[in-house]
Amino acid sequence: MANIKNRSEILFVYDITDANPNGDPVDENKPRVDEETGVNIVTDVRLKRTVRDYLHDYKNQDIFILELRDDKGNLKTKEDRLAEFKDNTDLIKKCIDVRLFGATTAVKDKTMTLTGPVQFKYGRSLHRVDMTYVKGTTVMPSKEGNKQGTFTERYILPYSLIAFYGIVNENAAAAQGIDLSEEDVSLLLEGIWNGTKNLMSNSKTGQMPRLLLQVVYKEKNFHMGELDKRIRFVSDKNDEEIRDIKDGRLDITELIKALKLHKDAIERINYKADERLTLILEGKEICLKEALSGFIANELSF
Amino acid sequence: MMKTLVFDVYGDFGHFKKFYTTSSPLTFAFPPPPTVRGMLGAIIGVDKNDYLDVLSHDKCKIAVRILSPVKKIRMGLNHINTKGNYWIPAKKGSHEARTQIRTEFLKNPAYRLYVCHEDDQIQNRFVENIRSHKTVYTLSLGLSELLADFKFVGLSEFTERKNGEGHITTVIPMSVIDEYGITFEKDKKYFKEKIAMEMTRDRVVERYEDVIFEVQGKTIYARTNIYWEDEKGERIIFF
Repeated sequence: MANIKNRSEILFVYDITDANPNGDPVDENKPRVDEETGVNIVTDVRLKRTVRDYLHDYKNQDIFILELRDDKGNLKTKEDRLAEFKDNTDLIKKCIDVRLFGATTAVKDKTMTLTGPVQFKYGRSLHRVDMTYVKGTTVMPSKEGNKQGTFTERYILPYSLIAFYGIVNENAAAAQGIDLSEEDVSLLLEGIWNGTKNLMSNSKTGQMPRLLLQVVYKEKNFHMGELDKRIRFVSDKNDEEIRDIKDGRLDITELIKALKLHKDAIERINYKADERLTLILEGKEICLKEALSGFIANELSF
Repeated sequence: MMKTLVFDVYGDFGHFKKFYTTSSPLTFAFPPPPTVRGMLGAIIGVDKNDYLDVLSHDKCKIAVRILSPVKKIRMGLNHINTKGNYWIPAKKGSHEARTQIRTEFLKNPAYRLYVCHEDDQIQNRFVENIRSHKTVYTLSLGLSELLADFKFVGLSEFTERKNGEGHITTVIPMSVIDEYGITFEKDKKYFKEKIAMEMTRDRVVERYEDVIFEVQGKTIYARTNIYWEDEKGERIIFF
């Protein structure tokens, strides 16, 4: 597989209903919310975990940062895990997550500090969110001798539409001797989309991918930046009352304008949009294919 | 006269870790000089092992201006627990798999950077890349995931002047300020932080300095033994 030659930018929009997209471990596992603006925040690590789990569980890919158990059921240590690879070169060759996101290991004789060619910012909701506290019960006691189950409590968001933005940097891959292939990047995109949909955990069910865009550049060292700042979610409802993707429309006017302005620098655009998402361009409803006419645009098929 | 490149960098979050905080990382209000050099290295593509050399203090002058009021937010992050120099990804005895780190971030940080490299070739690479919105490596604000964007502002001629007083737009190292040289004005908030000024390529800090700044991005009226002024009368202090 040929190594990537081009810079590209990724915009990913997904939503979550009645669940917790990313809990803060030192804040009662509450969803992260910027108190000043009411905007929900999701860390980059959460998205990377989604991609890793999907690629490992469904695509048979080797993943380095993974919870693995040995024959006795004990989890493997970083040393054990590293011992499975000949050297760092071998590790990079085998593990797709190291090629994409880099890795830092401080194990004796095997130190490695790789900056990932793929970097994501923290995701942010495109509207103010409402936080709800839910109490429930468990039916099975946690300890022998207990006569009853106990109460559970958690914080959820009734709804949050979240935008992630990232950059794939071809120089970062080349400079560090990472053979990041086009196929790796395709798998990343698939992991983002399908992994988000397939997360089968209580706190993450109700996640749906809505929009994925990869802008691939031919102009060397150039990227537009801030794709996430060029979209807006507009709704007739108050932000906190939004409960569904159909409660609003995603305005892509500014994004398309910027793409057209830099048309000469762009080689192609890969995209995927969910059918329940309504897109708006200059006040009119539009489908993504139409909005991207004039570009070499490929709909992603996974 | 110093041909200086002026440009803005900004993002959603920033984190410039204070050197004396490890397990509960706090952030400086602005990127210290070694960090700025790293950002410049990313823009023109100097390897992370070389940038402190190629863009060192004596070759590359930089000044930093705070553009938007400094706001901070704290979030808990899950780190892997490597206490005892090993990592087991599960609870084992008293060893927890993960450790929660409450980390301080800057919110919507924005800075204006003034850059002047003695090597014309390198300076031109800065100007060309910033002008055409290009970076060789991905630009971030302190941590790799805190992606930054940037905007060309202009090219200015800054002239070095000795002993004078006036409004200074950038953050100021205390060492250039005369004794009792600051005029404290109403509605301004003055802060002082000790930051790393010079660092060798082995990442050994050779000089720390106290730096004074106005936290809302306003100017500071000060009497200094050195300052640089451009044709429009903007006064800055290079580190």
